[in-house]
Amino acid sequence: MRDPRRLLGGDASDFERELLRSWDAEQPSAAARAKVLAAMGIGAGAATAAAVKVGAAAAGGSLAPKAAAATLGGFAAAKWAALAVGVAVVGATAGYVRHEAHVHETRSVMSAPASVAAPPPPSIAPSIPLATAETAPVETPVAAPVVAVAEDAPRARVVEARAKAVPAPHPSALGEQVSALDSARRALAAGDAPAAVGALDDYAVRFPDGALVEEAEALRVQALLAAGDRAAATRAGDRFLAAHPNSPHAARVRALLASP
Amino acid sequence: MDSSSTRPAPPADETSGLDAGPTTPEGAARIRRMVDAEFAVVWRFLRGLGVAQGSADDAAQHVFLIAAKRIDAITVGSERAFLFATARGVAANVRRAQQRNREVLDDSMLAIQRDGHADPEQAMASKQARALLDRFLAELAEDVRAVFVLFELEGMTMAAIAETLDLPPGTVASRLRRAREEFHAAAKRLQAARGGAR
Repeated sequence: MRDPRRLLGGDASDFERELLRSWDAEQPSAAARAKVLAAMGIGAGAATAAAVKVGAAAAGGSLAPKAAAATLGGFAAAKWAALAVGVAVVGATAGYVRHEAHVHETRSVMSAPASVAAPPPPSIAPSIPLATAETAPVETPVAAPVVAVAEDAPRARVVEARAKAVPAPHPSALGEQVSALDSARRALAAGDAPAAVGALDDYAVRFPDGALVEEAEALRVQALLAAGDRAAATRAGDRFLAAHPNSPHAARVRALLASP
Repeated sequence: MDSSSTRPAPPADETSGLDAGPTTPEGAARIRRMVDAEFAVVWRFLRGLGVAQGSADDAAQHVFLIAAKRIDAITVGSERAFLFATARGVAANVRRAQQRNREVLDDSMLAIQRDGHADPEQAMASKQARALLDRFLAELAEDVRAVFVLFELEGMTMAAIAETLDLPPGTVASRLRRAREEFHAAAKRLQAARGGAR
């Protein structure tokens, strides 16, 4: 099937382009993804759940430290990930994991048993609006034993390395990374592309090996385009695609570069 | 892809009663990879389907929790199809909830009203453009909207869309044509309305 040209790359009026390009600012926060992992008992922020489930599924033993390590490897987007590091194993057979919206609330959850009794919601619909940051904790149904294991190749080395030494990345460093990207995103959404580029420069200087570097570089392409600096955007995009051809952000970067 | 695969179209409402999720490390690792690879695109897809910004995180979380519960039933290679089918169900539920709570509906009108007072010489704020885009998307039938979002906004290829939405290629093409016609018409109308408001 031969694809038609996209409107942005072809027959769109200026006004139409404006509408279509407004989509560029759409991006989930880094913390949102971390919350999902934590809610599933995988990776970031969910050491308790992960450890519990590993204990249940693998009869304790050797997988447990690995699961804790996986939370380290999985902090790719976590403001609260670091909080989970080193949390003790709690025995339970959890069909449900309490999911909290706030970071500090999560901390208390992680020190509590992970078994929470509540029937699954009758349907998805009503529970979604409830699950905002301002409301009470929501009982989120979760697949029973979810086991955190580090299988992703890029992460394996990190996991291995950290499993030995265990020093967690400083929580504030992770939080700062997330904040740095959030401020870039906010600036972009507010139409202040130069400020977004500035925030990304700041990120690159402070966290050259940061966990969110791919996200940051993809965002840079978008910010540079929004700032009208197509040449710089193209260079940044080419660099990104050369370094991370299989990144989840690669398709978006390609689409950005293809836009007029 | 295996034709006997479980073609996922998990009606979002029907999954909550399922009891087991991944019972193996492999299942957990898979869902983990799905989150890493697809979270952002699923999140944006939900936004494109009309989920308000304030609900998108939770809606995306629901999508992945459903996937976690069903992970053992998701055929390897059709993960994205499963997620998108689930996202459509979740988005439909969220839209209904948003309609019940009209205050959530929507950041867009407020943004338009605010920006309506902006300096007329100033280029249209991206926020206002985004709100207008939302208004256009809301007018589209859901099936047409999904194709428009994935092709024009997300930059997916037609073939990928056909696979992801489990549609024949011809259907993707015809829905895109329809969406584009409506987009051009809506853009004229919105532009005129914007001009009139100044």
